[in-house]
Amino acid sequence: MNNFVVLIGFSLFSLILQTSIVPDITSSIFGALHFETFASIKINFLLIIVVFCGLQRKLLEGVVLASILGYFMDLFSPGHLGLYSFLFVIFFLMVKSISSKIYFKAEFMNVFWTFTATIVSNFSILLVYSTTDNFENFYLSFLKMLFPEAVLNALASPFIFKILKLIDLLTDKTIEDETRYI
Amino acid sequence: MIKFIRNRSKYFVVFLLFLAFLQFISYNIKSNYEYNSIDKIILYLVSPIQGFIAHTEKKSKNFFVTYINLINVQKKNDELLTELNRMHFLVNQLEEAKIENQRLRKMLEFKNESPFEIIAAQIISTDATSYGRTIRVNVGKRNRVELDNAVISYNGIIGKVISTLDNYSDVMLITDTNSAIDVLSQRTRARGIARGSINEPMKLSLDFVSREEDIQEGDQIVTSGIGGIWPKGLLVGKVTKVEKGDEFLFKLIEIEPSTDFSKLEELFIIAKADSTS
Repeated sequence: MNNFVVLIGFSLFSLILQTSIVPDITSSIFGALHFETFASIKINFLLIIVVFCGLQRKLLEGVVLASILGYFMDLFSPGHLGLYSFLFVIFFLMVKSISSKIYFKAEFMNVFWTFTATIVSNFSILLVYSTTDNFENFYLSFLKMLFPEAVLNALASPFIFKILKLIDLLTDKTIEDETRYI
Repeated sequence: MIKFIRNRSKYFVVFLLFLAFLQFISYNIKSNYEYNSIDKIILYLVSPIQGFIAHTEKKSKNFFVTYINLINVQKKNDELLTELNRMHFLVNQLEEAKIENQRLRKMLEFKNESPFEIIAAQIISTDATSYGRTIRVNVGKRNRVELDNAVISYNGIIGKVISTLDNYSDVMLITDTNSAIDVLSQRTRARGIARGSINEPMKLSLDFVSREEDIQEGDQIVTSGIGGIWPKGLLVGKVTKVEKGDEFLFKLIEIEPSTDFSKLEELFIIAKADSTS
């Protein structure tokens, strides 16, 4: 329970950073590198936390966590239909079921899972946009938004995973399946 | 029965979440972005922290810029570093104070000269996703902000209020894909709909302009006043690209918004836009 509450608190804090300082930093970096096209790309910390849950949490606990994190995302992205509450649970189940079948004991797999989850996540969002909003060119969206965000999330994931593992350690969290530790 | 449910718990959880999701969508559609009690509690807890972080970030940004600029100097001369660091810090602070002073003066002039009743606001956070273009500002119902109030800056229109709490409001920018504004060409009075696009976060598309209409690059686009949200004649942007598109009924037109959304700090909310338009 302790771990659950701390994880929710950390997620909320990450979301605050995700909507305030972090976009400024990433857009400054892209600006300095003359990649202004990517200036609006944001790191999705909550998606990384969902991937972590998919690798290291039991089914029910993970589903509840993913739903709450999805709800937070919807609350902090008020202009659009609340999709994340649902999508995050799907991503959690996806990572959990596939990761139990493919096992590689390597740090790189964290990056791989985050990258893949971001691609699938944004692909789903774009599919929804393609039916409802002013959306024209999927290929262009892939190059300008989907792929760069996946790269950013993947780069940030080792750092977030380390913090989450530290939280597990400090709150004496026992992991369901030791082999899933990557 | 319990065994049956336990064996299929994963499917039950997904099914229940699916039902919850459908409920969530129907609730969102009905309530028109109105927050429920749980939303309000979370936002009341989090929004002050967002405000504090935005304030701290603003104050500390120049310190970090100064620090980064001085890394190379440190290697060359340690003795000069302390002095230089202090001087840079002071100069940057003065520079920032000067810019802030100019900006506030401009805001004050704008507020005094504006024909509308306006409420000054500051941005405290941006959208959590890369696709959504919404911002949260530090004024709300207590400041007489209402749903669908128009949001402007001294450069032109910004967006509209889509939800409000007592002290905070969410603003949908005109570059959001859900945004659509009835606009006019200032030169020829040709009408169209300015909409946001996912692929171009800093551009708008001008839709439904007939191929026969005279619209050229450089034309200023202003609000038409139709719809009752934005008063007539507010600057939206400038036409940057016009394609006739032989296979289409309408011209393909791109607008560059008059406001640079990446540098937005202060903005104004027009109170009771319907009575002023």
